[in-house]
Amino acid sequence: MKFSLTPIQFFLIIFLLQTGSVFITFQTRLLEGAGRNAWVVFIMTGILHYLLLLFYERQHSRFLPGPFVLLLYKMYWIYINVLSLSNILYSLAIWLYPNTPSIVLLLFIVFVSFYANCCKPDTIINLPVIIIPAILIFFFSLVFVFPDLEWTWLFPLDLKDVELVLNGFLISQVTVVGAASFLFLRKRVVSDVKMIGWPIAIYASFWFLFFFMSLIVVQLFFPLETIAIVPQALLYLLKSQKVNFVERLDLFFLFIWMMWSMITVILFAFLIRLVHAETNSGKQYKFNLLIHMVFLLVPPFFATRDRLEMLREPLVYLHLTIVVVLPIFVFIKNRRKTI
Amino acid sequence: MKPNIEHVKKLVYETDDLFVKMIDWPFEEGIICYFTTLVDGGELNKQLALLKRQAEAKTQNWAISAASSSYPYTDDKLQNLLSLGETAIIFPNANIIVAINLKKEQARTTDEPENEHVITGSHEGFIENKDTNIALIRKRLLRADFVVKNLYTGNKNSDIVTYAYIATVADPQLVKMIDNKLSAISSDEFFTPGQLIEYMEEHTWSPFPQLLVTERPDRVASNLLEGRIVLLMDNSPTAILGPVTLFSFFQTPDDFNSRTLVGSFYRLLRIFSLITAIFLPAFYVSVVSFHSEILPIEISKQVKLAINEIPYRPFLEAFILEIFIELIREASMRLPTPIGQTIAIVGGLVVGDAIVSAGLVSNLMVIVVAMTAISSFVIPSAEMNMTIRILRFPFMLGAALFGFFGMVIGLLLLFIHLLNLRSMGRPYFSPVIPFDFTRFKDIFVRLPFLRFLRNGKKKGVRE
Repeated sequence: MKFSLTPIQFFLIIFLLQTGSVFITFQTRLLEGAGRNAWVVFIMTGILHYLLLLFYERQHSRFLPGPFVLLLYKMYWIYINVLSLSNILYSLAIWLYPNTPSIVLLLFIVFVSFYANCCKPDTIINLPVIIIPAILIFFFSLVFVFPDLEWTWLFPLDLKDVELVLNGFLISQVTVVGAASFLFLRKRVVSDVKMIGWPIAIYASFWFLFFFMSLIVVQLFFPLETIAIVPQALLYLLKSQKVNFVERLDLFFLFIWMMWSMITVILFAFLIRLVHAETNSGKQYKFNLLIHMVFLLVPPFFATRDRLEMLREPLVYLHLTIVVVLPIFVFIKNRRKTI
Repeated sequence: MKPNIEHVKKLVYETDDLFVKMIDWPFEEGIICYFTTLVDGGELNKQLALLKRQAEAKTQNWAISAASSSYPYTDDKLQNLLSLGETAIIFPNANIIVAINLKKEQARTTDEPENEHVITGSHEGFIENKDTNIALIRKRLLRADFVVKNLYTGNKNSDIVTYAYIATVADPQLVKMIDNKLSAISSDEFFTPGQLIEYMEEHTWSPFPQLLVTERPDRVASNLLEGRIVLLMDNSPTAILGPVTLFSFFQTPDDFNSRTLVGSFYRLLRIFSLITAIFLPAFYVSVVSFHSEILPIEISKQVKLAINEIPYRPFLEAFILEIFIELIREASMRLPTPIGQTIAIVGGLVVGDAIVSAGLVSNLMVIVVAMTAISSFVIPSAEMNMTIRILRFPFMLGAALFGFFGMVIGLLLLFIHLLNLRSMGRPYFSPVIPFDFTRFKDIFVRLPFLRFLRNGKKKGVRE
């Protein structure tokens, strides 16, 4: 696959890969796991995320994975896409279409992804631009909630409870799931661009602001005791808002989120194809069809609350292995080779 | 074999409008032939007299004048010249043809095009004569770098396509690409600009026009100054411009002839009309069928009251009305103007009111469909207008099946399709994607012309 990325395209793709699959669910889980410490824990995650990106940037030229490692990445991204699609189906069933068979809805979503992945890479790498207005709308929607926030709920903190903090820290790692794409897409960025310094700092700050704002809003809106019964807290939060021009603000947001998630699914499918093409020069069309068949057949099975939780359970551990441990392993291996 | 009168007649299958006779010439007898239906006989006599004098005076290159030239004789060349409306004098011993180009021109005046009216600015329009059309462009671009190229296309080389550009502004690679594409056309039946557009476009099955069609010389001139290339055909008042973007279809010469703020307002209005023309009926169907809770309670009550007594589902209701509007539009276009206007009034007011009174569709649906129709008519390009009108049907279907979810699916497919499109190799969705801020703001705002001039001077685009 021949294509090149500008720094803006590069960061926009990574931003979508990091946010699309988790940004309306992670707040509840983090607040459940870390309690009032959630916002402090997330600041730690933000710092580590920045350091991780810096580490990737310094070492990316040594990232030359073999076929087995590439296979692991492919499997990992297929897993994330199945998780995202199951989550979309579950949310659609809960909020809008309780009587529509999930496979029917999924057929349309997967068709869009398949169609996009049949197009030239240029089309897919430009697709995230559509979401830029949605990001602005997202921030704007959250501003409506500000008068209802209870700012005293930021405290008291309980940072001495190491188990609570660690648990929260592990849960917050889901916000970094798409970070591994940095290693695969970095070499596609036009060569004369230096990322260390402002570019990565600005991106990491924006990523942090996005997640942190949504977390703070949820933490200060819902009492901690009730958060466990609100799986998609952001949607409930918007549902409770009254504005003159529309009765249900959450429905608009639900569709923005759905579009956001669908573009993320398309981008992950694209990444899978990209990695596949590195070791297989054969027909990409068949592989594209195959992965989309998986996306069509597997998610309906997991589109219930319990199964979704079951599917989500290993995400953090898989993430730490794939995003942190595996790259370090590859860097060390290639460093030895070069020495 | 030396050509003779019988041979010439056979070459054009003994058609009755062929004039062919032996003609005395100072050094040998020639055969003069032309189609009487295409050649101006009076002018021809004057030209023949001039050439004869030159031949008698034994002038070097006597056959060359402003209207004549000479070629080695071949049957194909003779057929080609005759079919292009030229007069051929064949000299069998010298084996040459002297061709005299004196076509009988029957052209209408350069009136303003019916479908591209402007309030202020030039009211000239192209006609069915290519040379006149080029002259209309050239008189607006008084510069030496305006280049006109003629290309013979098709297997018989009998069709001429002309492309023109400004050499110092147009991308040379683009010019080469167009030249190659035009040269590769192999069709022998090549009559309309529509055919030419299909040969030039990369995505024939796309509903979106990828080349801008206009009959206005001022529009062509301003586009040429922006580096575009124009294609012209004889016998057609249509100029084809490319490469263009989606947003080129939403600009009119009026934008630049009116006040900056007024021009910007109407430009924004057109973009808004694009959104309403595509999405309004689908949005209404979605809200009424699936998401009525989205509306504030007061409006929701009104909607429920309006649709309560309607026997059909909202999609069918919308579909009936949309088709009805399309019927009125098509009928008023095909009929003579006075009758067409009557049909529009009868269809729109009388039948529309009767449909509502009969309880087949709701008042609200009439408002939605009427607003949609008006929005689509605001779009200045007739082709884009049609595309937009067709696009609302799949969106309505998606909305009827899944509400907003169907619309989101449709919207994504539309975006992916737009991102895929290229116009003469350039991104169709530019300057949104790939993003270019300097051009992006021009989509929404018509900036003061002085600023363009300053930018032009900096970039060396304008002289």
